[in-house]
Amino acid sequence: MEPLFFGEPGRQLFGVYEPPVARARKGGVVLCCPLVQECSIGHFALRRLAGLLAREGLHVFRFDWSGTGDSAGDIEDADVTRWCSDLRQAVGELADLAGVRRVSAVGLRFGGAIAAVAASGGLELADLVLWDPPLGGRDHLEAIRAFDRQHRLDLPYATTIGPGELLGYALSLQLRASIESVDLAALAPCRADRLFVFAPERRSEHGILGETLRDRHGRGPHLAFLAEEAAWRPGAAFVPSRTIQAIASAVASSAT
Amino acid sequence: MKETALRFGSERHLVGVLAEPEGGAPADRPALLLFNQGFGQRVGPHRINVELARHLAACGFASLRFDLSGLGDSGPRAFPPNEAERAVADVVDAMDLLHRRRGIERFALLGMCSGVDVGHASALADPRIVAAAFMDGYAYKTLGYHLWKLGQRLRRNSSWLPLLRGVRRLAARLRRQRAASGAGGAGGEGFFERRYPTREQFRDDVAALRGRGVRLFFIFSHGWWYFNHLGQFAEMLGERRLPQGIEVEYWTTADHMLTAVRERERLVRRITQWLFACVPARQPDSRREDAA
Repeated sequence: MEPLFFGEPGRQLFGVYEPPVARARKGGVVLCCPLVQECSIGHFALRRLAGLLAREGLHVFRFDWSGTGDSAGDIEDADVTRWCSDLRQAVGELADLAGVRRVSAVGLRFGGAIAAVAASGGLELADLVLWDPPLGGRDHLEAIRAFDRQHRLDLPYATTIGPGELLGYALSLQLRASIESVDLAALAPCRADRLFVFAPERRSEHGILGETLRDRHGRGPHLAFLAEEAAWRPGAAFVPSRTIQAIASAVASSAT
Repeated sequence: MKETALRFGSERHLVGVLAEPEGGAPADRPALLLFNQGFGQRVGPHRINVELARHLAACGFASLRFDLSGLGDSGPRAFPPNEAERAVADVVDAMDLLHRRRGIERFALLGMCSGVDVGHASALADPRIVAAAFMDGYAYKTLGYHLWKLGQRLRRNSSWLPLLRGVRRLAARLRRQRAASGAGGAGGEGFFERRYPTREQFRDDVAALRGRGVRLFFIFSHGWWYFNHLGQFAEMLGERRLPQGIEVEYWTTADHMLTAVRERERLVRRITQWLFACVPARQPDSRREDAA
């Protein structure tokens, strides 16, 4: 495992490269983390997934979006276009590091939505896995707002949280508009060989995604529902082990 | 400002980011060590450690933010077998790394939430630590704490009934505390246990650190249940006034996670000021050397 900075000088991104533990396959996988509070609580699940994928013989790369984690910048200056560019750089970095041509992406929550936007915009991927994705940015932002309202109610005193902040993050109007503009149901076909959607339960949005998301061959996503609690769901503090295993198996199956 | 991603430690199991000024930090400035709180990552709640590290680098200080064994991106550590000792060994590894790479010999640290346990134990264990700051650190409910709380209730209620109830509850609590003398302030419940030092032990530890000349800075937020007024800290130490070398602040508008951007900016500002105060005054001779 190797931590490193990559990307343009002054706008460097932080990443962790995990080489294959078992006999190396020809593929690589970039893991895309979620945003704001889910980034922190989903970290361990992505680290577990990285470990499993490396044991499957894949080259794995995790990274922080611009303005998040250890990457350069502040979140209020970021937007979805910038993050799509980050993902393209991460895929290129993994290809250079590992000498692989086939790279897949697994995105957790809104990380998956960004990956879908990037793939729809021309980023070439082997597999694209959307892990518990929101249907779009509008839904996602509303969920964050609801969480924020509850958090403010839980505080034992008059809050000093600024009006532009959500859950302690300064989400600029430009960033909010950018997030809200993401609609997975309205994307052009993704430049991926296969699409997967993994979720803990079937909801109406998954039916919509099944009908609208398309891979490069015009096929819809493989939908998989594994009833498990996950840390990023309210009130839960668990790593969804079966889902992680299922994602690792799915991605490894195409990289033989 | 430049940042370097590092993998280090006796078992190369630790992951961290060194932030420093472009030309390196002046030798007389302590480097700040930042690490996890609870199960969080090295970046800290709402990325506070990143904001702090970058600001400090711009002000001429080096810092290393890193994940302790088994947390964030860091791998597990086999030895020592005790979790608390493992964390201290990780901090020692971090200092050894900065000494090897940059020749740094003096360190400060910031422990937040349960990171306080690691910071407190490390400061006691290693004389290279010359300054330690704690956000929502150890606190003990004193008589003053209970009276303060009672007073607040009185201000909210015009009736004497709550006062009488409060006095009864306080008396019962003090009886329980006497019966369980030696028990600490806050402990954990369930699988996340914290071993709080007893109040007496805490006093001895603070005295030992002061005896070594370690500068101490304690910040308490309004969200920390065991602390409710500024005077409580001196009372915890059995003193009338705050001893020299110790700074204490009580932030009534901050919560435990420093959720508001304004409170995080305040932490960055105050820790930077405090670190500047930790830089020893230059000797006349060295000034002459500089002038030469």
